[in-house]
Amino acid sequence: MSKIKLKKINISLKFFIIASIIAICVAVIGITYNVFNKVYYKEYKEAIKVDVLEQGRILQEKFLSNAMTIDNPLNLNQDVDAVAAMLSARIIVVNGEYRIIKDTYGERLNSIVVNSQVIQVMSEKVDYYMEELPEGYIRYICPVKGEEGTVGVILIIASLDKADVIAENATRQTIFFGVLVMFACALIAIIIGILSVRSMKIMNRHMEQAKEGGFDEQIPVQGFKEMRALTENYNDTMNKLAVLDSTRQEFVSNVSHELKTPITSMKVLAESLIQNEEADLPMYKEFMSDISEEIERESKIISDLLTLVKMDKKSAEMNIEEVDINALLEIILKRVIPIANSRGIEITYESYREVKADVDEVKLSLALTNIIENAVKYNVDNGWVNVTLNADHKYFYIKVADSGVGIPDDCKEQVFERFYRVDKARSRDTGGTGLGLAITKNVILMHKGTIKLYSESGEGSTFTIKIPIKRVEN
Amino acid sequence: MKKSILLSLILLMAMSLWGCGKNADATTEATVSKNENAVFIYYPDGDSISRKQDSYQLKQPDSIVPSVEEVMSVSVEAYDGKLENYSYMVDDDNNVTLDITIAGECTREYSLLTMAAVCETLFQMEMVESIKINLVTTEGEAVDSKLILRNTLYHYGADGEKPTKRVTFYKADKTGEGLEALSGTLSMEDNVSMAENVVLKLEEINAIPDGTKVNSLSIVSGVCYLDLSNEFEGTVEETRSDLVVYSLVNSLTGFTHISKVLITIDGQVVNSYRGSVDLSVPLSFNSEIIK
Repeated sequence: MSKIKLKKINISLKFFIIASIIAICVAVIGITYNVFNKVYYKEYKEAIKVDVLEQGRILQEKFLSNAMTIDNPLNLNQDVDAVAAMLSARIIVVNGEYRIIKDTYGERLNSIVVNSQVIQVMSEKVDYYMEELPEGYIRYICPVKGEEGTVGVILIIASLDKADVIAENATRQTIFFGVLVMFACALIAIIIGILSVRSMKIMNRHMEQAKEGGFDEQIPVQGFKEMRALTENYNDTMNKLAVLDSTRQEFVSNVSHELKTPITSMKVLAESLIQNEEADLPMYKEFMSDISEEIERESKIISDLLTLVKMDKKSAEMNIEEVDINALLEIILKRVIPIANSRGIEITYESYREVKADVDEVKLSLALTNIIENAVKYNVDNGWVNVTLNADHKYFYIKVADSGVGIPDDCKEQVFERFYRVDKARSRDTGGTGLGLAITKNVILMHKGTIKLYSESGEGSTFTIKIPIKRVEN
Repeated sequence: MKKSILLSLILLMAMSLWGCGKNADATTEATVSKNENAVFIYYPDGDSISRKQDSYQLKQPDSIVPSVEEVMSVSVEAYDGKLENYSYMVDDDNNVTLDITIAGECTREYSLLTMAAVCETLFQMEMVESIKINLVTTEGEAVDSKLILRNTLYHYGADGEKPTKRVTFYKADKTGEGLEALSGTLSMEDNVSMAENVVLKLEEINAIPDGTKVNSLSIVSGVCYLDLSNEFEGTVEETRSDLVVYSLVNSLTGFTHISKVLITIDGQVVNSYRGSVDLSVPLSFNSEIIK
């Protein structure tokens, strides 16, 4: 669901980042502002309550010392008025008969108060009342208590309007600073937005160039950690693409060269026959025999190329079945032994155990034949080839060692590449196409196995093959 | 789909709650309402007074004596035996004198609540002018005696209609040469003084500039310190500045406890209001400006 939505949103990452940062800033400022105002307002209310309690206490003492009268001996009128003005409050003083002896509003003087809270305080059922009224007032009712009990009650109804006004002023200041912070956030958001997409823009420009074939260009690794990793990966991919491109060109060149060589030979042989007017039948036969060999060579190259192409395809089918590897090797060796015998090469075969594995018999046979034939072809006369088969519970191992010419260190990496030959002249003489080991490696990989080469120049080579006994499809 | 269902549920709940509120209001109104010539019976209940659920229909509403008798005889039941006996007398001016005998102990709180309940009950009859209540114990000991007029009892913090008071306002007359006196009634709120209500009323009737707010109002030693918002500096249809100022001063000094008014604007003393009136000193009632 979210993926679909993201696909439909056609906005730039820069805009998204800027908008997100601004939105987060607005939310944070908004929450801070609200919390700040509420805390400020609450604290101010608490301060008013403290004031009310304190002034109430002072009035209690004054009325007690004045025998709960307003005029004599002290004139408390002005004191009560001053406290009321200071607290923005209405103060009502009630004597022991519930009669109002002072009302700072001047409206209820001499009235008799009927109020349950006043009665409870006067009758000492509760010590005092302090409550916040929903209309925005604090009501404090406290007793004037002498030695003979409660002689009166003081009501202070203080307005919270002042708190509102102060909170409003604080709000104005908060809004002003909030707007400043917002501008700063917007500026920072724009800078972050630009910086965060700059590396992407550079990479995109390079990719555009790569599309035109410029694999050699490297992007400087800089910026954030993730961007550096992305750039490094991009540069690695470009390097591999450059190598692949180079390999492709080399392969095309090799194929052209390999296919052209027999044709050139055939052309030379045919032209020699045409130009030689005295050529007799035995010469014709000899030349035609050479031409036939070149055709056979060309055919083998094409056949090997086709085999390779088939194996390169991901859809290359594997005909997996349980195969007796011992028997397979014996059959291969039976075919190779006559060739070895003709050069006095001794082939030994050691099998440590019976091995049956899930393999494609035809393909594996082709690969093993290539390895063993190479061991004979590139061997010295009267040399030896040793083939061993072993296995554990998971893999089987085939080792093919020979006493041949060996492979120089600088060529070990490339022997499995197509058309690569260590000794080109000798290879052609032995009838090699340069594709044998490439085919072998592909077959081993298709069996999820590995092939390794150990060799010293002039001291022979050893190929070790490791293939899983049971095939597990991914 | 889910959103629609959720929205419908919320709407349904809101409508149900709205409906509940309406019903509750209607019920309250039904219990509060009473027929013409009916009175509610009040009685002391803990630390306050309560009202019996049903109202009492007066049988002879035009005659005060039988009405007092009917109401008192019905009230006795609500006192749970505490009101042992009563006798009354009504003079030609409809002033009622009531002697009540209280059984057992009678605290000053019970005495107060008894007087409040009786007065609250009897003052529902418009013809009653005043009530003098004498409370005695069964042993004949006087507990309390008070003369109670309609505005003597102050039911502070009680819900319901507030008592009103007739006040005089002053406003510039049509000629713009002086002030004319207007009268009206204002309710006596618990938390807003009549003086502040007068200022608000003057703003309402356009006697002072529109939008003027009372920042604070306090009365100390007969001087009303009135702090107004800066809207007060605005004009009122070309009314002279002294008429605007004295519409306030004369209206406020109409209260017995206010003799002078000192006007400030946003807490600042104003030496010259609109270039003509000195507001730096408290101003007294100005009779010469009244036409």
